[in-house]
Amino acid sequence: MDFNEWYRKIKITGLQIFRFLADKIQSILKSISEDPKFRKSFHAIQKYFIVAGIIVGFIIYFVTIIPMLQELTISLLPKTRLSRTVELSESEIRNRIRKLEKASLTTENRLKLKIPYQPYLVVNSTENKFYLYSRRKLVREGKCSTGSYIMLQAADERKWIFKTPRGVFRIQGKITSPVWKKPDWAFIEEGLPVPSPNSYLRYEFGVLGDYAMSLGRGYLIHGTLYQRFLGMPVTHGCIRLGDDDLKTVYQYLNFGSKVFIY
Amino acid sequence: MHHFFSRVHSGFKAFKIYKIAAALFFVFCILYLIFSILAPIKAYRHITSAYIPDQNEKWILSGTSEIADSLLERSAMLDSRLLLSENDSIGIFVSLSDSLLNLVLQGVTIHQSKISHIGTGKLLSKPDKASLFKYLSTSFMIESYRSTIVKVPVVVKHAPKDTSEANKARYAPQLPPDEYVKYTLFSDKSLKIVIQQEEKSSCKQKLTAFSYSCRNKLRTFAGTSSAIFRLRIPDYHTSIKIKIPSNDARTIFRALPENASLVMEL
Repeated sequence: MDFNEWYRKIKITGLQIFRFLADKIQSILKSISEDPKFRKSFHAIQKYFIVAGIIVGFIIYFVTIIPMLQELTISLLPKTRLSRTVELSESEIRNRIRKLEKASLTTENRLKLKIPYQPYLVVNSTENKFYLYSRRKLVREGKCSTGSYIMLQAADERKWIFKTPRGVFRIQGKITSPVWKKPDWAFIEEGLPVPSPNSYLRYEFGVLGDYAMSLGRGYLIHGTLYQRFLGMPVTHGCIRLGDDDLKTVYQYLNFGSKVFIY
Repeated sequence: MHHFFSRVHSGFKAFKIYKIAAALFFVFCILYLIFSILAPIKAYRHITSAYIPDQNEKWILSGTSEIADSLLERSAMLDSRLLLSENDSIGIFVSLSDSLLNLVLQGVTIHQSKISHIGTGKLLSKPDKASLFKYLSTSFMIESYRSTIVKVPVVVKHAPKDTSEANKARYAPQLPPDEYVKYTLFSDKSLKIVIQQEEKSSCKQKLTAFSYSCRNKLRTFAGTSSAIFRLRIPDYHTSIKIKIPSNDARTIFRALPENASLVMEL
């Protein structure tokens, strides 16, 4: 048998199979559609589809068509033109441009003066990083630890939120070998009884590192025993630095140096 | 018979109620369309009329030469940055020409992020240059925001009763979660900034993005509907969409205070 004969036979067989399947499906559908239970549920499904279609239509209208029409409206709005009551002469224009150049230069210089020339520190409390600048250049950057944003709730309804405040601060004090005077929350969070204000139990040595710098309101920049937690938000509001970074920052910053925390 | 007529009457009444409801809804849809179209027109009028420069102001030089235009653009940016620097709180400076987004505090750039993608609304191309320069020369104030991430990630911890409970409840440090970062800052001068992460999002993040988009659209619908019922034209904010790294986006969002100032350079 040649190729055309084979092709003709395959085509006939294929058509026969198709007709057989089509007849079968038709007879099944006919028997289903004549069933009264099916008719009832079909009408119910039809109603649900119509309602769903209407809801989808309205969603498309409010969510897509309306914003598109707004954009179309904007594109059809005319561009405005500046109207001058008096036409400016060439010399007047040149004069005004010269004044504008001078004024822009003055503003630029004023903006430059806002950046401190003296050393200052920038602390990113979200990423727990610090940047030390001196003479308007970056001299050191590294990891630090800032507030954990834990809110401690005591049994007596007292609350503390451990966050590092944001804004501009100034170094108000510099200390070597600082000693930590523990506040009430330090005992409460350990499940320990709170001692009297002058108790020796309040004083802890060696936990704040070799240096500390005060920012005011009880916040410090200090060292830490937990060097592995640098780069993570684990403190009670203070800024913790690694030993080498702390030494460098301590050496650069003076009383009154700015600390920008964000 | 009476039962039959009462059933017909209640059916007719129900059908009438459906008709009235459908008619009211149709009227609402038409009003929604009209008010939605009036909103950008109102914003356009606000930008083009409130910032028409006075004849003695420097902005009137616009259009006289290219040098004048570039000087005025620079002057607008410098004026607004100077205003920003006199503020004691953190502000944002967005430079679309340099593709940079800066956090500024008392004139010092404390954080800078490179913008990888910028999309601007068409409304800012409509005003003449002089009005646009004047519009950009004053800072914008961020009145509200919508976000996929929490602004202040507070975790509540109850004080333990004793040391054994304290030892059991040692709190591990919280690392930034794998969250989709996108937020919209609405300003007071018909402008909104949409900041989103530039990294490709995972399946879970795509779900967050979809849910954020749905919430946004629902709030817009609610805002417009409430304006219709008060017979007021709703607010329209032309948008500027930018993409930056997710870490920067998170940092900037958490650093912004209430009513932060925003300065733009186009």
